[in-house]
Formats: sequence, structure tokens, C-alpha cells
Amino acid sequence: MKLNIIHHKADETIPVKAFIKKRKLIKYFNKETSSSIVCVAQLLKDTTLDPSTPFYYGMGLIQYEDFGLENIATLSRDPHTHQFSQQNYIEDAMPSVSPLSQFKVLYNMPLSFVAIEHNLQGDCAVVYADAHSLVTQAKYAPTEHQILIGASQVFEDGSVTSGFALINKEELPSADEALTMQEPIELFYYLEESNNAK
Amino acid sequence: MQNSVCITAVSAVSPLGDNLEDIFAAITKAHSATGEIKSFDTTHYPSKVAAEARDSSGIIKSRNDQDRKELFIEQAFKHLFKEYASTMEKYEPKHRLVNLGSGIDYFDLVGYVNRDEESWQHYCKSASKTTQSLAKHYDIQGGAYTNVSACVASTQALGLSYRILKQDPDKLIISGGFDSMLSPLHYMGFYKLGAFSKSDNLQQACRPFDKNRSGLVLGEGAAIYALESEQNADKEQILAQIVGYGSSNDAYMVTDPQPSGEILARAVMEAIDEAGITADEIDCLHLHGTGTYKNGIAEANAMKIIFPEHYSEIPVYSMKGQIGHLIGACGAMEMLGVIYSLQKQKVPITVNYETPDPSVALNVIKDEELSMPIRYILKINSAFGGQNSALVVKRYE
Repeated sequence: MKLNIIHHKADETIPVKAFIKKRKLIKYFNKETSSSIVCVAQLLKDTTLDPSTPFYYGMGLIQYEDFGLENIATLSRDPHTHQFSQQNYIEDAMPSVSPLSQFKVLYNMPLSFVAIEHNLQGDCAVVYADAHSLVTQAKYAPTEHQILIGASQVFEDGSVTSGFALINKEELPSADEALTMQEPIELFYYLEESNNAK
Repeated sequence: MQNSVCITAVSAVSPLGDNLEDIFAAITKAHSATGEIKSFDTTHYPSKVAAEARDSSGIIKSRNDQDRKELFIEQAFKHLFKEYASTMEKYEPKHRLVNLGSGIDYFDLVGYVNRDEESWQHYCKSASKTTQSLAKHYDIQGGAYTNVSACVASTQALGLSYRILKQDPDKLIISGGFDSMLSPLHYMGFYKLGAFSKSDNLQQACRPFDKNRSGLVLGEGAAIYALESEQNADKEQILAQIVGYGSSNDAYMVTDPQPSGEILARAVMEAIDEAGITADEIDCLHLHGTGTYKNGIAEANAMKIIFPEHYSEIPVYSMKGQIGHLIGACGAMEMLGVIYSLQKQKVPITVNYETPDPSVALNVIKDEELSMPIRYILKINSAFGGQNSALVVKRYE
């Protein structure tokens, strides 16, 4: 098993520019995608995966947003009543929102951008806020070869952790062990501990 | 030998109604459920069209602080566990799983703007928490999974459920999807992507594969199925069998499908191979058919690869002209169309398909349902971002 876990504090710049071939894509990235791209690039340094390698990604429960929600709320508020104004929302708030923001909201973007960067065309899935389902996806993957699994979690303070592993099915935790975990990122701490214990 | 996983129960809340009888009747009549949004005020909105979920009293209403997709899935579960109690009770709680596809979390923007609670998280409803809460309520202890792979989420959920049951036949899996983008924030967010239909005719706004297609219309709802192995299923109850599943990723662009359809075709061929059949044995196609220009091209090109001899003859159906695009729940909802075809032995009319597009040379059924022997159906869905999924579904004999 190959494993990589990285963490960036809220005020740290995630060095994604150094780890991506198509730099023009960076404008689409939120913290989760940037962190995933860096984590996978470090994991797969000097390795080219077969395009058919299955790839499953676990997204953490949303604790943080950076697409401009507060700005939308402010512009949607009637200055006199301080209540939601549909007219303000449509005429003031929405024009301030970049169409690119949608790419920061959709949950399958980290998987999609990692797949593009590493030409991963095989079996895939994105699961949400549950380590057990990530383990199950990998366990039932249509391969006996290695699988790429990953997860990211952006925390309420804006810090972000990503974990990725190139793994065989027999290295996965049992269903009972996986049921004791919550967020997908916890799986990678578990794998790190298992590796260290060997 | 084919591995068989059976669909033995169904429950849905859809734009065509909240029971199978009404939904099938609407498919037969080629009724379109798209129209002007009634579930929230759209007075100043630049677009007002959607296919909203309805029950016997009409379009389902909700409060700003209610997540519509949560409302629908709770209703679907209530119905499933009431109508099919004996199926559910056959399995110990640890052998029951729930595996659903869904979309992005609901956010009560109106509540947040008018807030007395500072934290935005307070106004956010997580699909994952909904799944886990349903599992707890219905004593499902084997796992509670939420797939969020955009428009293939629920097809992938059904696909994983199929894989689990093939290897572990003693389980019962409640699988399907639930989604609604019909709220101020999500509706306008999707509008900003530029994918909405530009048609002013609200009932004809979604036109899958038609030469004059101009974009998609959002739909909403929940559709769930009880999946059991054939050895455990009550034979009288089997509605259809899932016999093959494949998924792939274009790894091309997040905004567009791969135009050649090559990677989509790969997912389909994996599903067909797993079913132990050849492409020639597929009787009809229930495609993704969103009504966007690029989707039509990509799917048609994929069909040319899979069915080189008869891609323009094999009958095609897309349900989205009737129900819109349910995003995280589209595959699950469109499985109702698959079951319809298998039970009635008919390929339904693709609503709003009128003018063939020479660059999408598919045999899209229009004017009248096509009666024909149907054993195997190919169901396809593709996602914004590049993910593809395919299921082969068989009539139970």
C-alpha cells in the first residue's frame, strides 16, 4: 500500500500550481480539490497508473464554504426590512456570483479533476460523509489489482486534510472496523496507524 | 451463468405522482410534468420551469426550512416499509443496508438571510445525515451509504447494491435516490451554469435528442427499490432483475461529455459483459437524454460504438421530457421507465421528441408507444464532471 496524508492550515496556500499539468483548471478549484490534487500528485510521484484503475473518493461533511454565501446573503437582504428580498436576490446577489462558483460546490469535482490530471477512466464513485461506504466501494471494485481511494475534509476553521492511498482489497479494514469510523478521512488515519504498526 | 439481483419492491414520489399506478398511466399518456414552478415564488426569476414532485393533491408544498428531497425520501420509505413490511421483516437489521444517490445539501437561504442564528451550518441539511437518520429509524444496521456522484449518483448506488448482493446474497438493500434542486439557491446556481432550456414553452422545454433541443429542465423526487438475491426473493414479487453494471470516467472535461462517447461505451460494454450477453441481445435503450446539445451527440456516438450494425434501429427512450432531470436521483427515477418497459413490453414515447437531428441518428420513439418483445434493457446515465454509469436490466422469466 502507498499512502499519503497532507494537511494545510487555513491561512496556508495550497501549492497546487506545482502539482498540476493543466494550470488553467486551477480557477475551478476549491480547497478540497486543490488539496486532493496535491495529495495524489505526491502519492503518485514517479508512478503512472493504468487508466482503468478504479478510483473512489469520500467527501467530508460540509463544514466550510468559500463560494461567497455571505455576500449572497448580504445582497439579498432588503436594507429597510432586513428580510430576504427575492428581487434583491435575483437582481443584485446572483449577478455577483461567478459561474465558476458552481464548480466549487459540486461534490464530484475533486474526483473529476484528479481523474483528468491522471487520466483515470475506470470504475469510480463519490461517497459522502461515511468511511464505511468508501471501504465498501473499494471492497466490491471490479478488479483484483490496486485501487486508488481518497478523501478530503475541509474543517470549519478553513484548514484542510486530504488522504489518498493506492491499495489492495486485502489491505482494507473489515466492515466492522469501518463501521466504527465516521468521516472518510478517518479511514486514512486508520491506514496510517496500521502501516506504522507493521 | 448470470448473477441475478432482483428488484422486489418500489416506492416513489415523482413529478408524475407518488404511486406506481399513476406514474405508469402518465408514461402511457406521454404526459409532461414540466411547467411553471409553484413550490416557491419565482416572480423575478429569469427562468421559472421545472418538473415538481406531486401527490394526489397536486404539487407538494414545503416550508423554506424544509429540505424537499428529505421530505420525498421520508415519504418513499414510509410507503415502502408499510406496503412491503413482510419483505423487510425477512431480514435481520444487520443484514439490511440503505444505499442512496443524492445531490448537494439543501440550504435555506431565506432563513439564513432572515436569521436569528449566526452559523450558516444551521441552515444546511445534509443528504448523508438524512440517509443515516432513515437507517436509524427503520433499524437498518448493515450500512447507510450516500453516493454524491452528481447525475450518476443513484445509478451508481443501484450498481454498488447489485455488486454487494452478487457476492453477499443474504442481504436486503434499499437502494435508489432522492434529490431536489428546486430551491432559490440551487435553482439559480444551476441556472448560472447555462444548461437550462431556453424554450418559452414550459411543457415542451425539455426535448431529448430533438433537433431543436436547447437544454435541460430540473426535476425532483425520490425513488427507492428493495433489492434481494433471487434465492431470497419472493418470485411473485420480482419486478425486474439487474444483471450487469459498469461505470467509467471520461477524464476529459468537467463541463462537457467526451464527444466521441468512447469512454461511455466502455462502461456500457462492461455492463453487457457482466450480464453474460452480447450487445445484439439488448432490446431497447433507456438513455440519459438530458435535452442538451452535447449530451445527444455523445450518447449517439457511444451507441455507434456499441451497436455498430443497428445503432439507428434499436428503440430509444428518455424519460426526462416528462419528469425533467432529477440530478442525483435521475437514474433511480428512470428505473421506473425500465420496469414499465419490461412489464408492458413497450418502449414509451420520448415526450417532446419531434424533429430528428441528423447528428443524433437514433431511433427515438415518438407519436406512439412501440410494442415489442423486451428481455434486456440498457439503462445509461452520465454526469457533469465526466462520470458514466450503465445497468443491464432483465425481465424476470
